[in-house]
Amino acid sequence: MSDEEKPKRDSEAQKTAGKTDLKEESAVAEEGAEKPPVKAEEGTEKSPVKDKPAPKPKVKKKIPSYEDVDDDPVFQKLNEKVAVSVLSVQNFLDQSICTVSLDGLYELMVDLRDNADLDFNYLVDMTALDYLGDEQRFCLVYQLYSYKLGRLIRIKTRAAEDEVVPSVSSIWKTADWLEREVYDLFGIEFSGHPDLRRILLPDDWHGYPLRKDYDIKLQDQAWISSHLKIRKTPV
Amino acid sequence: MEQATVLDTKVLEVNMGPQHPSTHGVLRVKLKLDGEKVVDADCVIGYLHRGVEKISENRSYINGVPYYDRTDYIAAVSNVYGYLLGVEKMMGIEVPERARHIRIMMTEFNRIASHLLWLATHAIDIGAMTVFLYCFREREEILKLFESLFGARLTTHAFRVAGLWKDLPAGFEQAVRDFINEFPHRVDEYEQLLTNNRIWLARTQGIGVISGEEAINWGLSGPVLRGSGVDYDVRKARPYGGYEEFEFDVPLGENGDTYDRYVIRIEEMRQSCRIIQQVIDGLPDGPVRGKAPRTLKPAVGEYFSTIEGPRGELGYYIVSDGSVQPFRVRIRPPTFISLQALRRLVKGHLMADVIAIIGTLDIVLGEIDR
Repeated sequence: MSDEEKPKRDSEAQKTAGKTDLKEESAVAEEGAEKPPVKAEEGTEKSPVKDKPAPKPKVKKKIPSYEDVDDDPVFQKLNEKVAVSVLSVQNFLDQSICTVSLDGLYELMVDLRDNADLDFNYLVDMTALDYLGDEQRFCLVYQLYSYKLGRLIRIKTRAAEDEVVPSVSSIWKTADWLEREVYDLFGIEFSGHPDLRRILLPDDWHGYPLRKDYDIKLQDQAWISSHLKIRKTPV
Repeated sequence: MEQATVLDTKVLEVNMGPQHPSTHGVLRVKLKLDGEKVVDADCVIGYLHRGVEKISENRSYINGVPYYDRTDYIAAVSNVYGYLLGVEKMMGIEVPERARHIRIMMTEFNRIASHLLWLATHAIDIGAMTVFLYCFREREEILKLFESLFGARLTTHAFRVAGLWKDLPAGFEQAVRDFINEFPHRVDEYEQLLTNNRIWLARTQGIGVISGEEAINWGLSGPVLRGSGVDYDVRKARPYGGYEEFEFDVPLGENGDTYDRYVIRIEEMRQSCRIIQQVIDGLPDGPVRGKAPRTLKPAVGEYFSTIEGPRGELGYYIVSDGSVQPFRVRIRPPTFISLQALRRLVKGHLMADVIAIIGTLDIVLGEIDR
């Protein structure tokens, strides 16, 4: 659990309000009590669940971990000029994750698509993660697919709160709305986006709901009272 | 136009929606019209935004599941399936073979039900009333199957971690066999009404054409992408949950127009039927639920689980920080991305074709807005 290569170990600050109210069972996930199966043949003896100590040491399941990969053909074929911005290439649960620096992001994405050996012409998805408390608060995540190689890869880059991220909407049209959504819900600005405005929330809404410091019950009270004519929404 | 000096036209902005019967939900399209021709279209979405992704971060892994039923409520079974596949992969949970096969069967039933609803509404938008009634007749049979197995018709909460809630009820297999024996003939009926119907052809052929290359660039997936001739089906490209054990074809279009997408969805219903036939013929015995801890606490990590939903590639990007609640669950909604291409598809068409194109994209606003 304490491998140092985990970029996404969350800091204490991320445990925002409302994050801890669920019961935490002491048993680790693999040893947790099993639900009695529905089929009668296995559930004949009533298994007391709560207070029984974990049954005899089971075969420890392999806990998945991030493994560094240095011979991934995809990232070896990258143009040398853009390859310098690759910080690490890892595997997790058989999915490739490539972390790049923000400065080289755009050039790398162009190369991933235009490089004839790679041809990552399908931007499957794009989103962001909020690591509140980290110096580089946001992590942008791009899922790319190459029809030619049949490979799905993930590109990650970190950005500080005030940093502007280059838009990839000129590379993949898909990114247009996806970046608008990230801007809407995380408040991350994109440079070079043709039409950066809110998409899911109203244009004059204040706050970015998917940030970790935005409580789940929080609402833009001024907006609600002026548009919905509700004086106080029950919280 | 040469006559522009004589009959000067002005670009007119027309609001379609948010309450419009053919937008299939609460969608507002700001159309810029030159006469009856669409110059530009801007979609205004978010009317149904409920913050499902935010809610998931504040629920345990299991408690989040019913919310995914309610994103794409037409394909609730697929939605839960995609999420659970991701969670099970992160937890290293094995699903018994019988449960895996039943899951595939029910997901394919959901695909048929979803395509039926699409065909019904798409046809009624264009003006074919009868198809609507026929489709709902068959969809009803599927919903009855859902009800007998899941206890609900629409928001089914279909699967549980490591398997199913319970085994198939008595008489279920027979009901499935009855359905799949009958259903291909029903599809023939729809085809009789539409496939060579001159009005249908006139309204769908050459409407909303998009080339394969462009469709890829717009990130389209599912039947919309395959209509343009791109051979990409997640069930084949990255098989999940045991799809590699079953035989089925992936129908492809040539012209990338509304008609091709119609033909593909019709053929997909037949192929789903074929999968169901194989499942029910070779359904193994055994438990329907594997072993899973009561509290799910995946190790720190992330997984992007993708499945072929009825509307396209449906993805769940799940990030765990090692606690009982996910750090982030990102839903990759197929229709959010295909609606984006509406602007591109409607340009130059007539106002009436906008309705056909919205129909052919098969959007569900609950999923777009999440």
